[in-house]
Amino acid sequence: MRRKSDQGNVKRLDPPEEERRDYLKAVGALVVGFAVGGAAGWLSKPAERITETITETVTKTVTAPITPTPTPTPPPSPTPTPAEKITLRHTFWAMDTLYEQRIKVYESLHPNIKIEPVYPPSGAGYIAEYYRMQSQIAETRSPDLDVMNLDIIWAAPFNKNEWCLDLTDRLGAEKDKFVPAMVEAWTWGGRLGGMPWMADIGGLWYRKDIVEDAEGIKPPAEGWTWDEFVSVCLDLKEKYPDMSLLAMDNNRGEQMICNFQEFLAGNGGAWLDENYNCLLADTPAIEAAQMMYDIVNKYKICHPETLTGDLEIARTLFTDQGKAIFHRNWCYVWGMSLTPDSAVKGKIWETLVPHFPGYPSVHCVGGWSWAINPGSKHIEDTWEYIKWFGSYENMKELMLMGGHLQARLDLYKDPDIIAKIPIAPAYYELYKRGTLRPIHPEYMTLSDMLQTELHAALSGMKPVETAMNDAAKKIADFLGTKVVKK
Amino acid sequence: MSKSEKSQAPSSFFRFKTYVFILPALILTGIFSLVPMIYTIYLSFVYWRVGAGSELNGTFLGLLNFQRLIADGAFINALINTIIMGLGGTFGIILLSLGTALILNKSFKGRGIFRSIVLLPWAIPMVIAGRFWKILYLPNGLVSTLLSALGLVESPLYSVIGDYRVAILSVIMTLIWRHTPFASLILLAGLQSIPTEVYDSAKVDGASSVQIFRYITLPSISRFINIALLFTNLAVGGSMAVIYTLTAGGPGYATETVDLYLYKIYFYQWDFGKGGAFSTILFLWFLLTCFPLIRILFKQIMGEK
Repeated sequence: MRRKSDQGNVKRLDPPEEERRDYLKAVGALVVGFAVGGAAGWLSKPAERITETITETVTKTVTAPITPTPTPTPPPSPTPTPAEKITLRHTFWAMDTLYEQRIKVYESLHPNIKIEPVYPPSGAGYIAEYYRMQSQIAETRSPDLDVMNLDIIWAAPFNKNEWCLDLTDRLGAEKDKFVPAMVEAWTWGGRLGGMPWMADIGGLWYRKDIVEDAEGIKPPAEGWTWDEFVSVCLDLKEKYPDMSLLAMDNNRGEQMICNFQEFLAGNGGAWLDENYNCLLADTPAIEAAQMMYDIVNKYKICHPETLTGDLEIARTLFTDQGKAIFHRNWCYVWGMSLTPDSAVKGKIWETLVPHFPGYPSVHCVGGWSWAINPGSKHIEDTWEYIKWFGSYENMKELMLMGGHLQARLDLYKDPDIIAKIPIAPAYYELYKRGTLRPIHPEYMTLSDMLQTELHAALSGMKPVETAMNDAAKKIADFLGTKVVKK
Repeated sequence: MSKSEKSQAPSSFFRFKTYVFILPALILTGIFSLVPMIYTIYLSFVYWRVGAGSELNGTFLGLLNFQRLIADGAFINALINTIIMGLGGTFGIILLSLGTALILNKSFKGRGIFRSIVLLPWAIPMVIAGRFWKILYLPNGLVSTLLSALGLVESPLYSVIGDYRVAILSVIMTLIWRHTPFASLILLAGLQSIPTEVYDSAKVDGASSVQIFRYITLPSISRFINIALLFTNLAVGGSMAVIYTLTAGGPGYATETVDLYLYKIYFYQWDFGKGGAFSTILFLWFLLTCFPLIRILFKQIMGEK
């Protein structure tokens, strides 16, 4: 390159041709370096052997039945002198005022404890980053966090890798008082890694004023099948042509997988067998996916944005606009139906999700749990803290204050709670019928693989059976297992 | 070395000063670019995962991560989608920005307001742009209503981003909308650098508008077109936020691009080895594709033909 000076003289200050050649040489050397480095590795350890090693040592460790591993003895909590204050760091998605209040109550009861909330990073994909942050801290046994706030789908990797303290003995028989599916999700090889705190469950919300009052329409009841549900919807369609029959988020994402889980388990199907062979190409899974496809494309009873919108679009259609009759969502819909923006205050209720003939209704369980970082320097204090927060009295107080739904099952039969949340008994019925997405350390990858294929099927990109076969093959290949059709 | 050449060569003090001045930039680049880059290349040759099998992290795999990537149909699909979006988006942006720049270069009443309006999409964050266009594309949105009114689709509830056959076009349209203003600015700067005397002489010589555009305008702004091409290419390639919020790669995998898939490998599959291999391939790809463009650009700017 050349630069002309003000006087018009040409001054050679820029990289000359030789430098460009050097640059190209450097790029070439880089490419050759990759090739040589890779080839050296290849020759020193044949790829087949490495693949075998990886498959055997990684996937098989994941897929092999787990035997309980001895819990590492936690380091003893240093006993503080009376003047010394212990700070416990606790992750939250975002602070809400109710929890702040309860934390203050705890701090007033325990003057030597200070609770410091830790929030996730913000932005797109923050949940993934939140997971990574917590798992890395726990994996390295870093004392940076004491209590971790974990989604139900993260239970298996945390438990399997012992990124959380084993609470089996600490919780003891008390664990039976929590939502059973949440306890099951947090149990891996006999190890209970978390204490459930926020419970959530999917269900079918509906407009009581429309469905129960409509002449000739069978109201939702236990034992109704998907065919009956479709038939009800088609009848209602004639009477309410301007309304969406079913507001349901089927966009590519975890919500679609939660929906699918209910179709699948409601048809007696499962993702994996006991040896982690993939069952998604089997008849129950294909029928489940086909029913989802039919509901969207053949019967056209879903709201228009079902494949492209999100859960909130579906929810606002149901509660804020009052333009949907049925709505598949979580428990927060009740609270939203009571806000000033709601068009359906006092008009909605939640019922069982339909199922296939011969199988019961099942409901996808969500929710979050607290786990103790094994690297915490204050394990005993941390345990005392979450034990207090997870006590019946505190959870009841939180629910009465209007906070999140809590994970103790008996709360949903508590007269005080029912007086405050009249729908609580309906939730109790749903919790008894909880179904879980696979409890597997690689669940997030498996889910992503199915999301892509199932959404391709629902969008008409490929036939349902082909998509499910492809999903099953991807998952089985990833796990190093087989596709099994019973 | 002759005396005159010696006098032109920078003194050692000048050289020392130069290095001192560029040292902070070098250190920062080294820490934040070079180290992660070298580490990513290292990851591409080893097994490295968060979670399952993390006890094997660091096991040397040779080219296995690259092999796994190439055998992955989703990677090839993402690559094809990226090429389609890159070519379609860049071509559309350059064409539209040229037209916009030509209009903005004319003097007319309200040009200032028009310029501000044209620049508006550029000021909107990509995430907002994605959400904004998603609302327009949804079945009840403006685009579907228009298409239905024009008789191009049967149902008024047609969803552009829900139809796998045209979803990629909807993403390209959004990228064109988002990135055209910046390219227009670059081309406008080019147009304004052409002396009016040149046009006047051409008109005196009887050149038509088409001839003026073909033989004066285009050659004069060719280096600006190259700059716009370079930045547009990078901008389109780095538009994951738009795609993530608009379609999230769907329907199915119809709009999944390399950056989106890379993100999934890292933060859904937690496979840093495979992700490292992916990043290394992308790095080489950008290095090899951008270098000739930069070279041409420098040649043009510095007058080397």
